[in-house]
Amino acid sequence: MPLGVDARVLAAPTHGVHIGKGQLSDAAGRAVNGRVAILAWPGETFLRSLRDGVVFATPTVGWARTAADGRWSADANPTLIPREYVEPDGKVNFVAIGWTSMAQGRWDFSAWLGANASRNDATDLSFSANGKLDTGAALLRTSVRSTQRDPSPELGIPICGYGRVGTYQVWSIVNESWPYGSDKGWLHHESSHSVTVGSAMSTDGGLHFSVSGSSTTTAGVSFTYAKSIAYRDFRVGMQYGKFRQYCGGQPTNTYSFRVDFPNGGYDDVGRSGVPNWTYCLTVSAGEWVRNRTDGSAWSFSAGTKVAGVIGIDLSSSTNYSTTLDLHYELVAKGLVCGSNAVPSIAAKVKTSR
Amino acid sequence: MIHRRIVLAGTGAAGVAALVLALSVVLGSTTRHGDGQGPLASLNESGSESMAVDPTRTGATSWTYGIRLCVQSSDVPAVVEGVAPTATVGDGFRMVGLGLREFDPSADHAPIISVDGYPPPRRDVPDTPASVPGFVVRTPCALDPTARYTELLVGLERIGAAGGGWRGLDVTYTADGRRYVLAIEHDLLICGPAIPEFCHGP
Repeated sequence: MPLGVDARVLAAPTHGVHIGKGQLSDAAGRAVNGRVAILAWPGETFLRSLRDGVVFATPTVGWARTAADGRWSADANPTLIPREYVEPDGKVNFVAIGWTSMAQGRWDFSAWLGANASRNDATDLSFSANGKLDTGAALLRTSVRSTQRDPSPELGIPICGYGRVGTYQVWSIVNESWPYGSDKGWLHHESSHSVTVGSAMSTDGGLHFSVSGSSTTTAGVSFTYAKSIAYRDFRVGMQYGKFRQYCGGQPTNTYSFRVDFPNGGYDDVGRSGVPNWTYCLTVSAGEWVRNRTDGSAWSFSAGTKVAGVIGIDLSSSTNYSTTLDLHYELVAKGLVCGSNAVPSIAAKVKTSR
Repeated sequence: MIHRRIVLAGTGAAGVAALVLALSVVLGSTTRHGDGQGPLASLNESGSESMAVDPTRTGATSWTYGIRLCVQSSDVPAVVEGVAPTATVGDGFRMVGLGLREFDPSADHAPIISVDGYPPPRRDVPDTPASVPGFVVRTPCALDPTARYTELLVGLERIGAAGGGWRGLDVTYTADGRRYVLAIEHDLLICGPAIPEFCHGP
């Protein structure tokens, strides 16, 4: 069993809130049979008050066996999730740790408790157990400053948690505009708008990081960007944290690099190269507004600019909603074109002629 | 056209269900639903959109707005009864026409968000719009831009400087023996003081 997974939770099936499903594979992408444990990670509210050097718990809150084809579906027991880890909208950050007899892997994600839990299957949580299984045999069991309950001594399990060892101010892209000629584009978002940004992990002491899923935070600032004829993307500022794992009071070589909370910043940056999107509809001069759709999220695989810190950029994505809308002002009759569908439901939109 | 004949088909639960269905039509009970939640749809998912035409840029005095209509299943066509605004804003406009068209989209025969003029210019809308009451929507909701397309056309004319327009559309229809209202969150607007949040952005 991987270091950090609480064996006591695995002693019985987990019954609670269904938080997601996916498929476990090996480093070559082949489905493997194993187990997946679900750990809770604190959210934006908790992390704002976290002092550097303090180790917080990542309690195991559920688990599941995979089927023969690697597929798994997991519940989380809400009574095992610290109340302060649950955001006001019911969202909780989780870490899925999957393992076989030889290998383990990790995937970060967010899911809802409560009324929005029916949305938890919208994201595929497939990931690979592509690292060497680390059972922590070398670690002595010692105490650690933690909010987690002390495990039974007879289990011999080192208590594990994470402590923040560094912070970084970075930008996450939340949308883009591609106005034609003298047309103008702009964006408005509310501070509460939900943004999902990528995370990364390292098991070699922080030398190399790889993508390990994502977690959800907020835009953190209400802002209407100025109208502009420029091709550009719209960015909000994020504080990322580098978190180191501690087990039994000793540091391990596992690091997690993930969002702490939004820092209130905003910016826009010029882009080049007009995309060739062909789902076009005719529109007269005036203002077209994309208010909300539930289906197509805006996303950018390299939308969180952290390569200068960990060597790779991470993803960013968000939904159009009542708290984020995209505007285009057309100065003459033209076209509004969607990237993957008609403009009203497309992920990305431009104007054209 | 609403089918009002009561058919006592079968016995037991099926018969009761058929009777309830028929009575619901006869007695006028209507189910209101959002986009993507009934037989007739527009985006076929929850969502909203706004188009505010700018008279100062176009010089036009009337406009045609296009809104997609589609059915969840081609086995359950929807018979449109009527179209009305969910709400209106301002008094500087009036509705001057409604129509429906069904066509195969191509590069020079595309759906519209809005075009100057009502009736719409033939170069933008080469089809002759059909009357709304009794129109049967059969085209399934699809993301394929070349798939056969049904479009509701709404004409608004500017009659005052205030502008304004429709805040959403209600499409009343029958499908599978039931009467529904599809509420589409799509604003059809003419720029002016009545809608200060549009056309005078940052």
